[in-house]
Amino acid sequence: MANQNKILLVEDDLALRTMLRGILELNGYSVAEAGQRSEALGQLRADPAVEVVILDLGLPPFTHQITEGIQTLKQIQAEILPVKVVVLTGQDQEAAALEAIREGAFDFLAKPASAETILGAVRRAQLFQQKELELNREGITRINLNVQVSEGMKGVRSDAEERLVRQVLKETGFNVYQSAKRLGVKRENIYYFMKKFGIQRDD
Amino acid sequence: MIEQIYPYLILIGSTIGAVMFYLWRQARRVSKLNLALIRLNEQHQFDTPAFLRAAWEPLSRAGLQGISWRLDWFGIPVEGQAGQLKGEEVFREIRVREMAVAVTLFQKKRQGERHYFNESLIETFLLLLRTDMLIKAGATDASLAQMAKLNLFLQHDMKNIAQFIQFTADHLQGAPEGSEQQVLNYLRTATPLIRERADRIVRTLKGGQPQNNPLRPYRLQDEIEHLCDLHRLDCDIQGTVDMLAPEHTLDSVLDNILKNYGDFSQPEYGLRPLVHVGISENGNSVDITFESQQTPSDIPLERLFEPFWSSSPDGLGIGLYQAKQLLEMRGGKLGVQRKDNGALQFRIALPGKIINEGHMQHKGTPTF
Repeated sequence: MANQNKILLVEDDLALRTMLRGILELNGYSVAEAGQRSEALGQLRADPAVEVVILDLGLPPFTHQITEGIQTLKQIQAEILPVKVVVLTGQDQEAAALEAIREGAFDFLAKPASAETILGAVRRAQLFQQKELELNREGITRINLNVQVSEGMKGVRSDAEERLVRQVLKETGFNVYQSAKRLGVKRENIYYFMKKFGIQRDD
Repeated sequence: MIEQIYPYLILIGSTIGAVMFYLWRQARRVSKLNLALIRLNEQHQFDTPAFLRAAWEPLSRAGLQGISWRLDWFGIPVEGQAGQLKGEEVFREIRVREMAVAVTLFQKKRQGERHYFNESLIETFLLLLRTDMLIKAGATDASLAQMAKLNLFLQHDMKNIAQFIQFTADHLQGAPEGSEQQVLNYLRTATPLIRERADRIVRTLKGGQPQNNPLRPYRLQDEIEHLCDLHRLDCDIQGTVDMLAPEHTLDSVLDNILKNYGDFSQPEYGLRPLVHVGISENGNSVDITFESQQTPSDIPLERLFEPFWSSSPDGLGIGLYQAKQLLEMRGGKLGVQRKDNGALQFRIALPGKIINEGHMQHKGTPTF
């Protein structure tokens, strides 16, 4: 596997970013940096070696709100980027934590957090990420779903199917034959799901 | 025949004239009393309790018998009365948010025109009370909103500073042996940035007025270039001037203007907005213009210098107001206009000592 210790640090405050980069680098991590959403997503798409993202929710242009950070999380989930996200934020803790967890954050830390706490969260995230990749190699795919229980099993099944098909297609580089093989279904089924869920190669 | 009715016509005409004169005088008297009430309200700065306490004098001149009132002012009940509480009662209760006033006015039973004249005066009085309460509610809402906004900003900035201190302590405590130089390098890079942030917070709290404001040599092109970079703007700078200017004033003004271009522009992510900057000498001052077409066309120019107004939900709305105040305190000017090509242009006139080329020293040198 490529570099096992690569972290992406998404923080718009340059002073904090420099200091946190220092802490991570001195603890053996290789650190990539981004100051806003597009930059962060661009780096994640380009560099699959990144295992953990430390994400500040207050990103430009709305540095005093959580919208940009949450949007970043949503896009990471939607694109099924293989990373764990540790949120480190100074925004309103209750609301921010709820939103971040809903959108698939692995951990949530409120500023100010000690280096030890951050490093602990990063190590846990890294461990989970690595173990999930191991499971993946054994043919087991973990999927994250937010389900509305009141909507019943049908909705859950449909969401799970969609998520699973998307994830497997992404993992196989959109190879329908391999995806069908991994899922133990016919190729026609994959085409059916792609049509049903509107999955396109660009997704 | 016609001669016989002359006396009657004269009598009728005189009667009409007298009635008209009487009504004119009454109307004039009521109009003066209405105006007196309005002026009195202005004198008391539209403050309901103060106006209520002072209103009896003009009301009594209108022939009202008495007044009693009960005020519930943000949970505190207060009562008052004046004159004689007898005669025909006019009761009205006005409630606006956490303010309520119940007023009873007493008047002699009046018929005809006097009844209507009094009614007009009473309605003016009640309308003024209601308006004062609405003004108060609006001012209270605005203050609370401003306070909440300021709190949000300070909370965010203070948490970042607290986080910085935490990281510094962690660095100093836990630096592995042999990595001291590396730690020092991180601190050397990050500390000026956090100092800049702390300065900005202090300036916001002080209303933009720095305490110590020494003159400092500036190469304007370099200064603007640095700030453009900080706000992720592409700046095309024409001209340069070296000058001595008050340190925090110039920093703060340039920073606020450029920050606003960043806020206004909201470019497609990844694209930096382009700002054209012109710098030129103009006698004993320097003119700087900032111009960008990547700004929304619907920004209301008249609101740009209004404190706590912001086009962005993320903006505190105090920066440009402070920048204008700072410049005007120093005899400078800050204006804004929409150009024919749609570009939003800020224009600064900054008084200061121009330094001849070649005499410019590095920032902060003690030469000056």
